[in-house]
Amino acid sequence: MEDINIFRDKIQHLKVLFVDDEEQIREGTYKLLSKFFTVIKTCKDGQEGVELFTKENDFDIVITDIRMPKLNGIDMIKKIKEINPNIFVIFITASRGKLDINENLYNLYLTKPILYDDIKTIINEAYKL
Amino acid sequence: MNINVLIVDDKQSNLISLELLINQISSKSNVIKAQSANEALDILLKKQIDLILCDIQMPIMDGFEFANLLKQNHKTKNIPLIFLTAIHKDKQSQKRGFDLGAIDYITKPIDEIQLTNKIKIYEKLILLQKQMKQDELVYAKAIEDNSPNIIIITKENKIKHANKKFFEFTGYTTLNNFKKDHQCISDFFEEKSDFIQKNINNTYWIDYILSTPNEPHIAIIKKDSKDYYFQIHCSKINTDKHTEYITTFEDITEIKNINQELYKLKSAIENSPISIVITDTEGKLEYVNPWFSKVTGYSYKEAIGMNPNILKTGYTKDEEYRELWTEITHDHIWRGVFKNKKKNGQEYWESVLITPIHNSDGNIINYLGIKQEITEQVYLRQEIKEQEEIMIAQSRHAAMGEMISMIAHQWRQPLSIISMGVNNILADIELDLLNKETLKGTAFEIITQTQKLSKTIDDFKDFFKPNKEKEETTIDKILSDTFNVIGNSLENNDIQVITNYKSTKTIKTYPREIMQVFINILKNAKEVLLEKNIKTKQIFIITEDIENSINIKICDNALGISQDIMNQIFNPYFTTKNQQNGTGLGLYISRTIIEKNLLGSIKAYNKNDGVCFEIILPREI
Repeated sequence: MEDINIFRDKIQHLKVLFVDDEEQIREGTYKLLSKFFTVIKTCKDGQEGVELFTKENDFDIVITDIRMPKLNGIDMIKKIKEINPNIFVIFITASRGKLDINENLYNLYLTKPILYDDIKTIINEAYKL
Repeated sequence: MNINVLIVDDKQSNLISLELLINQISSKSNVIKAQSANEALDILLKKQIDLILCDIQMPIMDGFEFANLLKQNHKTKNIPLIFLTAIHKDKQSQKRGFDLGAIDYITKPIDEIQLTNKIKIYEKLILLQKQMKQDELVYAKAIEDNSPNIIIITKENKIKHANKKFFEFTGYTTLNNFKKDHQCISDFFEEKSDFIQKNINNTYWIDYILSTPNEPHIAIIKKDSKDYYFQIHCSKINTDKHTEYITTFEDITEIKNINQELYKLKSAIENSPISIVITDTEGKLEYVNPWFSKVTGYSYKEAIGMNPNILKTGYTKDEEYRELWTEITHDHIWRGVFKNKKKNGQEYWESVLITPIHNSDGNIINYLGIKQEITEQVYLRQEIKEQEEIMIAQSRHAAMGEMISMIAHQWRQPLSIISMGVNNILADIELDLLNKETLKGTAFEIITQTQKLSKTIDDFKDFFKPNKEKEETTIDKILSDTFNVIGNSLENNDIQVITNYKSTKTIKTYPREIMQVFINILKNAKEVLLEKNIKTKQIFIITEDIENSINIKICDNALGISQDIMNQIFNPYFTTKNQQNGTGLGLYISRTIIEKNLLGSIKAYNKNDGVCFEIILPREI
C-alpha cells in the first residue's frame, strides 16, 4: 500500500455497518474505521442490525461478529442478503480455523483480535469495490 | 455282742454242769438249755443260735438225726455244731458226725482244759463272724441309703428289696404299698425306641441287660412331666438256690442335657465359617476348628502344638505383637488386622479378636482367637481408593480445562481492546493524524487492560495449589474470590446474581476447595439456565451463620429437576449434558470435597421454580 491516503480518498464514501455485542469493541472499532470511512453505523446485536438495514439498505459493507445474543451474525446476514444480495460481508470470529459456514454467505472472515494488518485487508477489499 | 449257745442233752445234770462250765469260760455266751432234740428244734425256730453243743445219745431223736434235720433247713444248716458223747467214741461215729457237718466231736468225760480252749476259739470265731456280718449289713445299708442311685433287688422278677432313693423317687413309703399299684419299676419306663422297656426283643428287661453287658442301657421315666434318663446296671447275686439280681438306676438326666448342649456348641464351632482357635497360656495352639484348616491349609494335626506366628508375613511390626501380648496377658481383649500366609505361601488378610479364657478361680488358662478373612474387603477398599484417586485426578483435569477456558474468556476482551488501541495508533501514524493527547489516552487504556490480564493470572495462579494448611477467612471473601475467577461469564449470559450475605463469622478451612465447589455449582446453574432458555435468568446466593456452622444456599430459577434425576446427581459419572460438556464428576467430587475434606454436608432440592444446593460447613475443622 503505497499511500494509504489515496486509498482513503477512494473508499471513504462507502457506507459501513459494524455489528458486535461488546461495547468497548464497538467504540474502538468505530474510532479506527472512522479514520477511513465517513459513514459508520454500529449495532449491538443481529436483531438491531436487521432493523437498521431494513430502514437504511444502502450499506456497502457489513462487518459483523458471529456470536451475539438475540440474533447471531449468520442469521442476520441471511436476512440482510434477502434485502441486498450484493452486500460485502466480513465475519469476525473468535475461533481459529476455517469457518463452518456456507461460503456464499460472506466475502471475508477475520479472527479476533483485529490487528492492524486486518484493517489493511479490509481497506484493500473495499478499494476493489 | 453275745453269742447264743444251745446245749442239748437229755440229762438235766449234764445240762447244768455244762452250762456252768461255759459260763465260766466265756463271758460272752448266753447258754440256752434243751433237754431233747425236739425242744432244741423249737428253740431254733424262735431264737438266733450261734453255736450248738449236742449230746448224741438221746431218746426219741438222737444227736445224729438232729444234726441231719438241721442240715436240711437252710436257716440252721450253717450253725456250728459240736457233738458231745460218752458212748459213741468210735471212729465210725466220729466220721458220721463230721459227715453230718459237725465242726467238732468231743468225747466224755470232757477234758475241761481242751473244752475251755475250744470254746474260747469258737467264741472268738463266731463273734468275729457275727461282727463281720453286722458290719456288712451296716455297710450295705449305708451304701444303699446314701446312694444317689435307685437300687432294687429282684428275685423271680419281683422286687424283694429297694433302697431309700427308690422310695423317694417313686413316692411310695413301703414296698407293699408300691406293689399294690405296680408290679415292677419297669411299669414306669417310657416307650421310646432305643430305650429300655419292660420287654425287649421278647426278653424281660433284666435278662436283656444281663445278656448285653457291654452296651449302655438307658431307660426314660417320666415324673412330674419331666423326662428322667437312667442308666441301668444289672448283676446277678450269687446265692445257693434262687437267682437274685441287684439293679441300679443311675440318673444321667443332667449329663444328657449337658451333652446335648455341648453337642450343639461343638457343632456350632466345628461348622462355623470363621476360624476359631484356642491356645495355651504360652500361645501354642491347643484347638483349631475345621475352618481354620480350610483357610490356612494346615490340618488339625499339623496345627496343634504350633504357635500362630508361623502364619506371619512380616506385615505386622514386632511392636504390635508385643502390645498384643501385653494386652491379653493383662486380661484385655485385643482386636486387630493381620496379613497372614497360608501353608502354600499365599497371603491373605484377617480381622482378629483375641480374648482370654478363665477358670473358676479367675486365672487365665487359655486364649481364644476368632479370625475372619477380609482379604476381599481389603483389596476392594484399596481398589475403591485407587478409583477415587483416579476420579479426583480426572476431575482436576476437567477443572483445569474449565479454568483455562475461563482465563481465555477473561482475556479476550482486554486483548481486543489493547489491539484496537494499537491499531488506532498505527492508523494515526499512517494517516498522519497522530496527536499526543489521543496517544496518551490510548496508552493508558492499554495499561489498564494489561492490568486486567495480570489480575486474571493472579486469580487463577493459586487455584491449583492444593491447600496444605487451613486458612482463616470468611465466606464472603471466598465468594468474592469465586466471582473473580468466573468473571462476567454470568452477566454476559444475562444471568442476574442476587445475593443475601448474612454470614459474618470467620471460618477456618480450605478456601480453594470451597471455591472449586462453588464454581462447579454456579457453572451447572449457568448451563441449565441457558439450556432451558429461561427468560429472566437468576441465581440466588444466601449465606447464614448457624451456631458453629455456616450455611450457604445457591439457587437458580431454571424450573427444577425431576426427583428421579435429583436422586442421582451426586453419583459419579452421572450427567445430563452431552459428552463434550459434562464429565459427570463435578457434583460427585464436590460432595466428596465437602464431606471428606471439609467435614460438612451438601444437599440439593427443588424450591421456588428452581434447584437449591445447600452447603453446611463447620466453622472449624
